[in-house]
Amino acid sequence: MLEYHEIDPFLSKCVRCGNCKAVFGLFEPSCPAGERFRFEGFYSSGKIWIARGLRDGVLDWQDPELVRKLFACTLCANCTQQCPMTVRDRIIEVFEALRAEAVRRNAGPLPGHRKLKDSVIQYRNPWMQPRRRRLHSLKDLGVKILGESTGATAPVLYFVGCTAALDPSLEPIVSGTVALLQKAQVEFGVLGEEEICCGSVMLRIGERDLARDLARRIQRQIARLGVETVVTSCAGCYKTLTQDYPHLAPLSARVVHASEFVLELLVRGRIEFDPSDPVRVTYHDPCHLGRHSGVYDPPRKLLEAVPGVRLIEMARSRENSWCCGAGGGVRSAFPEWALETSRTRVAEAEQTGADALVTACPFCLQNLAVGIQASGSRVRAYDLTALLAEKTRPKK
Amino acid sequence: MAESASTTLRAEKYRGLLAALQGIVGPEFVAADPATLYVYSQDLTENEARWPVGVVMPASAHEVQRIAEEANRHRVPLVPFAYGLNMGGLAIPAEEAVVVDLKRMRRILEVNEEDLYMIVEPGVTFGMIRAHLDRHHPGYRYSYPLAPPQTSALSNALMDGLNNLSMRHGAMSEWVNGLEVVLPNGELVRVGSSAIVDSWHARVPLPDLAGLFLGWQGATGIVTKGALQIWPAPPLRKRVFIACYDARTAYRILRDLCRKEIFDDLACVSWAPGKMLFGARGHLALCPGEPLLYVYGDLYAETPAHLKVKEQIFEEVLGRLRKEGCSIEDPLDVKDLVRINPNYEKLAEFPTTLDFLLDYGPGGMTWVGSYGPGSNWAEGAERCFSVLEETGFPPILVSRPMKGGHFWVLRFILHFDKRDPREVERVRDVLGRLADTLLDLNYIPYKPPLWAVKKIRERDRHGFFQLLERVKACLDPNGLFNPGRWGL
Repeated sequence: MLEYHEIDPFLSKCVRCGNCKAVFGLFEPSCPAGERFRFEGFYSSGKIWIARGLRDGVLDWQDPELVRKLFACTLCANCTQQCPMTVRDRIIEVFEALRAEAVRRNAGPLPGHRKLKDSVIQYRNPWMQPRRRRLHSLKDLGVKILGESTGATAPVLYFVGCTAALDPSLEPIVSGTVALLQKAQVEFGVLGEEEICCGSVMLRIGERDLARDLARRIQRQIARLGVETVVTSCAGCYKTLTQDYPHLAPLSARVVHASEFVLELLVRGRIEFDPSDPVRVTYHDPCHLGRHSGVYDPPRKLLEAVPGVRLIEMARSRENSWCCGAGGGVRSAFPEWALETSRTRVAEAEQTGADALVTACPFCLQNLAVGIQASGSRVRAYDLTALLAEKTRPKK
Repeated sequence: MAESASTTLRAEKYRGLLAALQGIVGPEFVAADPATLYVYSQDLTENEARWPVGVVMPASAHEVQRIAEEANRHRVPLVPFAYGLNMGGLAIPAEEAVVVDLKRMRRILEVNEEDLYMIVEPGVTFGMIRAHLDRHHPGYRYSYPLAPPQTSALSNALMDGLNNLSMRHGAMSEWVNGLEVVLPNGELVRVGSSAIVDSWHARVPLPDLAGLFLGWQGATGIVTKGALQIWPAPPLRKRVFIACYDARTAYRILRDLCRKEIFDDLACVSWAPGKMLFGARGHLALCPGEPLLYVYGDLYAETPAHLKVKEQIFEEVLGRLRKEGCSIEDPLDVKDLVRINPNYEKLAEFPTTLDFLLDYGPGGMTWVGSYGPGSNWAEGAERCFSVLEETGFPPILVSRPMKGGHFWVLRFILHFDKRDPREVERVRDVLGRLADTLLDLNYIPYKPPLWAVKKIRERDRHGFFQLLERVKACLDPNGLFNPGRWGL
């Protein structure tokens, strides 16, 4: 995580060679913002040059068009995979530092983001939902609620995440993850209504102070519970807890994504998959899980381990995956563009001939589902955990 | 803030034009905000920044025509911009102008295997062409530059670029079979066979009016479509590297191999980019006993026997040169080099990201590239190396014989810190010295920036620039298309 005053060494390096604009080798578009808006200032390289203009005092932070450009990015990090420069790994940190600076100067975030911030302040989640609403997705699952109110503890905490917990259409993610853990006889619990937003969306829209406050609260919660492992089925939470928290409020527990944890259970023989009817699936790499965290193989290994499941890759996959379009605060501020990006991904999934589009992030799933509906696609969207739970039985 | 404020004033002044452009392409494809203009006002080179008054992004030739009509109505110049990687300040307005970004026009309209051409729009990149041919026409190939793949293939051809098959088939302008062009008055015309018949197969036997647009840097028309030659892709390829210790030996190797017509590409880089390929940074120095230059070449063949014959001829040429006293190392297959150091992969296949060249300096990069006679090549390399050595720049040379050796390339690349005004001045001075040296040896800079045009013009003894002015005045009487280019 870079602070604004630290980004200068990275700005001069970009020569606007254009490599960030397309996936090398395939030469298909890589940048959702560039693909949507086309002007140079929307591509990753253009944003870096705009940052130079800000640094040199030639451009004005209070220019709303400039600020719009800084926020018109899903932070998908595809550019970091295509950029040939040694500073490429820091590009997203530069963009997040610019957004944080815009917020510090009261120039950002965008109007569409304000409700997210207000909701996090009021409800400790970005969905304008009361905290007790989190219990709905856990109802009848027989899962232990950890925390001060119950006095219960467990070595493993399932950190559900706001999106899966509060969007009723995503309840299969929660029930699926819980079912997998239960079938493997993992001793775990959830925080229930004491769970709060991890701060991911606040970090992406530049609201670092708020994110830091949330991080410190979660840090204290986890320390008090004595949890050894935090499992999350949300790619955004995973990225935030593993990569941003070391800079905000380091956690005492190890953090794993559900796909990694379930793969460990499979390898240790704690679960088995039932043979199922043949089904062709394609896997969408969530940006936060793939490019940001390097977790590409566990979801694929799990899918390939299910008898009857045939995994077919999309043309742009793994490091080169096309973003679902929702991240980086884009869906709140630019809903039409988010939908357009999702539809592009759905069309790519259709081209594989797959029956199911599987992902491992509730936010991706939400946006892809909207894209499927808008496209009238025959492809069905699944979260990995929900799909696996249907096909899992406990080890006898 | 001063520039932002003046941008606001300019936007006000050109409000009528910008509104008209919005009416043509839609509001979302016209921009005049400071952040957009700032990005379009400069490139990575030493050339001075200048803010356009707006940027417009057409999606069709028809829209370009209407934009040209509005430019005439408002007497505001237009500057074409293809895909975004610009060198030499060629897409920076020389005076108040609207940039016409052609990135939305990125269709490969046709690949005609039988007649060996493809029709592309200006926003089609080398990368797109490579992917398209590999996927749909695997038996055919285009030619790729030592440049990032996200560059416009048509712009490269229009500006006499040099690519990996240029050794055999000439500068990329020679690969153009025909063009569709919007003239400064908004008319749409074609040159080449497709102007007369329903085929883009050649520029002959008609008067070659493609010359009204090739090399003109957009000063006479905006090209909206072009037919570029494709060639059969032989199934076998072997890329070899040969180290040598002086420019005269490198010249002999390139010249003699070139004349045997066994290579599809023959080129040469100096030791400095070789070190950069291995990740060297900071001060580069040639160690005692290290090769000065690396010749590389591509042998293509239909069968293993065909390849073997070419390899035999290749070895015979090297053997003869050694007997004549040339110090030449044994050739290395690039596949072996890649095994030794995977970084060589970046030179094994085109297009390449070119990271080792781009990522070297603190963000500024420029070059003088020139075409001239082979007879002066070695002297040109030696004298320019001396200029670079005296001025403290590593000698980064990229070169090749063109069109079977009928003319040659000498291209020197410099990295510098754009933030340091003294460094920028120093680079300008060195570029000027290099250009003078090259012109003295009959090498003419290609894709020349404004400063290089002045130097070229000083050497005009036969009315060439007067003729350019007359052609420009005839086609663009209001001086609206990329004014200032070629000093016009």
